[in-house]
Amino acid sequence: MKNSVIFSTGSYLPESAVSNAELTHFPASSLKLIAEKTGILSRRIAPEEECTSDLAIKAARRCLQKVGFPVKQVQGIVLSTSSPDRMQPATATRVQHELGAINAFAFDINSVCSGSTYGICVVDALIKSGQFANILFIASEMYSKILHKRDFCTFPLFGDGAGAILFRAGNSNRGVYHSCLRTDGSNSGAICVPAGGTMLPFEKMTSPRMAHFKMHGTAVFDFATTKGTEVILELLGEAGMGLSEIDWFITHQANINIIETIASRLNVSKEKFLVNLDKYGNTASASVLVALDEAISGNMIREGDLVVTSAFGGGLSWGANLIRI
Amino acid sequence: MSEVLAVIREGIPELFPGAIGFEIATDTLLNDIPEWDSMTSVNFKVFLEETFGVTIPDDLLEGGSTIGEVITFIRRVD
Repeated sequence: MKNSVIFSTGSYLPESAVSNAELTHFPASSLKLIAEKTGILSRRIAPEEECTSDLAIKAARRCLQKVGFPVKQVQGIVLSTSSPDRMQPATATRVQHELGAINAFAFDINSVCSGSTYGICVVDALIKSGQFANILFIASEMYSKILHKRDFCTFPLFGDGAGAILFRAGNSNRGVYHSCLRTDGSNSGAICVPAGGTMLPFEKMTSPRMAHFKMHGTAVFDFATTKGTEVILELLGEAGMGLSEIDWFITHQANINIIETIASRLNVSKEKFLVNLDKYGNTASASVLVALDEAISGNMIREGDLVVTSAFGGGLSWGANLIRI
Repeated sequence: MSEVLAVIREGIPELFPGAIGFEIATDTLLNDIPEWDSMTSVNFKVFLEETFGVTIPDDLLEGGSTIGEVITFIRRVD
């Protein structure tokens, strides 16, 4: 059986960087809380006329162009997003068309912020099935358009962005070694957009806020630190590997305190945990792919390094992947 | 008092999703509202200022105040 090898990566962040101080629609006295509580200093906000697929297309082009991979040879596009262009069809279909990937199937997956780990697992399984020689995995999010702009508990925390990985079937010892996916649907309301689906159609909303993303902050922090730690241990236990063998950890970029708590509970130096949330905020399912691309492009992560990616989010869902770069 | 209280009672579950079903009275401490913290208190401040057209001092929302004290402030300024 062939491995799913990372052949190239790419990412795209909108040019417009908005600092905490520029969030002037919130009380000035509150703005210092953003950095204190989350470590976030800035976020990227996409132009009004762009949508999620636009970010995905740019990240995908960078990924393919980096290695000169012909777009017509792409066999599949899997797109993780929890802020899609439209309720249907899949956002991936516009990406497929705009890229000119005429020989690729295209579909979306939505596991909210843990979509990166779910997508990597799905793509790995598709490639290991032997049916596909390559698949382009993209995670793209535009939360600036699904957040309530006056909600201090969410709006300052998120940013827009996209990341991409081109996986190819390979025979080397590189590739995805193992994945762990976990879900607990008993608390699905903790992170959600209440209205707009069949459970609560827009015309039955009792408040405009119901059309926007909401999150129970305290409960989510406890969930993320607990499950974010456990899943890494489960992943490595199932793979028969130890923490000391891992070169880098890339966890979902939600909050610096979550990342540092996970590092502390694992008793791993926080220097091994990549952080970019200070620059980009929480880019939901794109965060792990953006961080991975930046680290590979910057020669921080090198070929042969063993990397754990992990993420946690709405569902509730969480997961982790063990990858030899 | 009751009119302002009614508006606050209606607004709180939307601002604090964990407070759905939580009884809000004039003697309710802000600290006792489920999910009350420094971040959610900013949403409460914005809600009060937009709804009642007043500027709420930060120290009134530090958690030790009651809903009744907030209402008294709003009525005094209004």
